[in-house]
Amino acid sequence: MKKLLLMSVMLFLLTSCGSDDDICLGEESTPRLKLLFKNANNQDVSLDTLYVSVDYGKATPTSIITAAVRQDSVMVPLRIDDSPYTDIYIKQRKAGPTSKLRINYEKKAIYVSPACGFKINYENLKADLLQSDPVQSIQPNNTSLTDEIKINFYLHF
Amino acid sequence: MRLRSIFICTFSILSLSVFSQSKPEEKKQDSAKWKYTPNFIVGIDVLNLATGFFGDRQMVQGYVSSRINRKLHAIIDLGYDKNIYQKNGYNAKADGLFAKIGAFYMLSGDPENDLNGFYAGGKLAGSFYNQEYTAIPVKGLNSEGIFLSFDPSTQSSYWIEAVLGARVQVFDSNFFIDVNAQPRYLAYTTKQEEIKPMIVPGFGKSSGGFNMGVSWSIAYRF
Repeated sequence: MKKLLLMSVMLFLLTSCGSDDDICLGEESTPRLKLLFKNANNQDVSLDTLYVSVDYGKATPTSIITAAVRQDSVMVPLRIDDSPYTDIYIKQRKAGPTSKLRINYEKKAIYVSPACGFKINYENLKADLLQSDPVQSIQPNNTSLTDEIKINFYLHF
Repeated sequence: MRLRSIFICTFSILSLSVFSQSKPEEKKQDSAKWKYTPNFIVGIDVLNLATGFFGDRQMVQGYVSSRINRKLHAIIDLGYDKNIYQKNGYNAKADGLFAKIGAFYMLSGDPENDLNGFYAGGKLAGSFYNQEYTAIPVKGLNSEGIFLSFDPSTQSSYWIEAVLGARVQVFDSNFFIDVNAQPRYLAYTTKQEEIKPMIVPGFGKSSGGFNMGVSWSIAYRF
């Protein structure tokens, strides 16, 4: 009888431990766009200062990077809503000229887990430089975005 | 949720004082060899029926059990469950029928009444239900409040369940009180677009695969 009681108590304890399945740890979230910087001679460069902001459909663009020093690349989270493109603004000086990049893509929703829900993968990435300076040109590298390993575009400054 | 727990607590305490056993009178003695005669006990889960008034989950379930030898009873459960899940950006509902089949073994019987006692057993269970996920969150940095919604669909889930409980005769009537806990593990489920179900009728919250059910039944012996 004592054994039985102990067993049922243990089973109750087990259930109370097993209910924390609603925490998403984030490693399986939507991947970010990876941009690497190059100079006019096609060499990797680290920019002295950098400002990056992204239009997520809110009233004002959201700053991703503000006055970062010695950056050679940047990871940009893209939009996950219904918009077929994401606009990225890049400048090197606070009051200087701003480049506007439009990244077009096709989205695919992928189920991750009960806690994390869905993530988005992007295919057929295309970048348009709507406003040059300081970015001079864009060179595509990998047009699908499923992880954060490969570089998607090279930006020439 | 809190109201529901308070209700379960008071219900259990009250029932102890109301239905507590009176002194047993006659001794029933088993013959050396037990012979099966048609016998059935039919029970209705009153705890989950009543908690339906306090929460989002409406569940009706009952069972038929039959003693097949001296200590072993076969049991079939049937039920209907309707539930919603609204948490962490999810909005889902599911409703459907479920059935369980299994057996339990009387561990320590009352020497004066061999239908009383503690028991343990196992069951196989299945649920056939309609579900609708009107919102499932999409996770991405700097974007909140993005959801995907899906059309209603029909799904099924299967699980294994252990049962631990006690059955006590109410005075000398044909009525019994049957209380048990059912730790259960979701073994297989059909999926809509690879989505793991958050709730399964008869099983409860299913995202973790493991769950515990408690039932408190009033049963009648035929």
